[in-house]
Amino acid sequence: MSDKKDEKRLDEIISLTINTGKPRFDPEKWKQKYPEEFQMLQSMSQKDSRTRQPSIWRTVRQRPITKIAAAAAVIIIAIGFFIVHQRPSEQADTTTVSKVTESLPEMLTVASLNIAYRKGGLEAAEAQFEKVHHKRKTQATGMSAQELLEDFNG
Amino acid sequence: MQVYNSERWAGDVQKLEKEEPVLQKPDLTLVERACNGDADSFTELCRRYYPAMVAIAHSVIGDRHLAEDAAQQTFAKAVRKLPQLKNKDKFAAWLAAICRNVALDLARSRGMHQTADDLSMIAAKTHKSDITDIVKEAINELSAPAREVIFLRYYDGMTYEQISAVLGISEQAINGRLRRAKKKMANYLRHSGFGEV
Repeated sequence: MSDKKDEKRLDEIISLTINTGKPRFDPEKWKQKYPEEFQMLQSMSQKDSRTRQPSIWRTVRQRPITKIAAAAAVIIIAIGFFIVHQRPSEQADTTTVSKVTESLPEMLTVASLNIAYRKGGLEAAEAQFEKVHHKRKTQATGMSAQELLEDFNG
Repeated sequence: MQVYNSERWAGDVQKLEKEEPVLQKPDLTLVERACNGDADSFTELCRRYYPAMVAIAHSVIGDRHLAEDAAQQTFAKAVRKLPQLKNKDKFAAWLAAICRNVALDLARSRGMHQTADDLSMIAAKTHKSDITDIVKEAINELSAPAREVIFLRYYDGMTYEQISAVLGISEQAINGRLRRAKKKMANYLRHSGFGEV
């Protein structure tokens, strides 16, 4: 007998020995036999719908690209906040500077007091203050910049 | 000749429309749906893989009735382990691994697990009257993986592609395993007095 025929015969014998009819799955019987598992399977959908609601974080964690995008978004938001919070203080600084520059005689008064203090200490500063105060009191319009600059030497 | 009335036709069409979406879906879609608690998808997966699971369990236990019990138990265990399934595209191989363990546990609990040596000793003691008995002995002489392939191939006439999905190995590997198993069986049958098989 040829090899092919032998193989065919062997196939037939094996099939005859093993094949005892196609097994068929009965879902109803299985449900009855394993009710706990069937309930567990159904509860998965409820569990899933409950966990699906806050899905943004899950979506972010799923892929590396979304993680990077989320990190970038957080950084941008942080920078934005930083910029917004920085602005008011800068504005405050500019207003104080403008206030000082607006009243030049006052600024020069302070400067002249400072110079007097450096040169002769507290007494010299007091004397300068008295002098300036007296001069500003006598002149209703206040001292001019020229007059104050003259006093700079204390 | 069969007469098809309109009501029956409409009923059959509705039935087909209901059944086809699940029946035609690929395994991966069904597995994903089953993981989300879709009982119909899981049932369809059970239907698809029940014969293969029975074949695997039969190759371990050696009893058809118990093999069916093992296959059903496999699906029950699979439901419990479904959230742990990482590679959803390898569902069949994952199921087969569960089935092997279930069948081994069942065989151990019933004292049915027999090694090839045990079976050859039994075979030596018993009278070899029928060729199917000799074939059974020849199958029991095979290693567990070879026996599994033989059962999958001849139980339900599964294709190499289907066996490949269940065992998680290539079709070439299945072909090689099947050839070696059959060669070994042919040798056993020749030595047992069946010269031409």
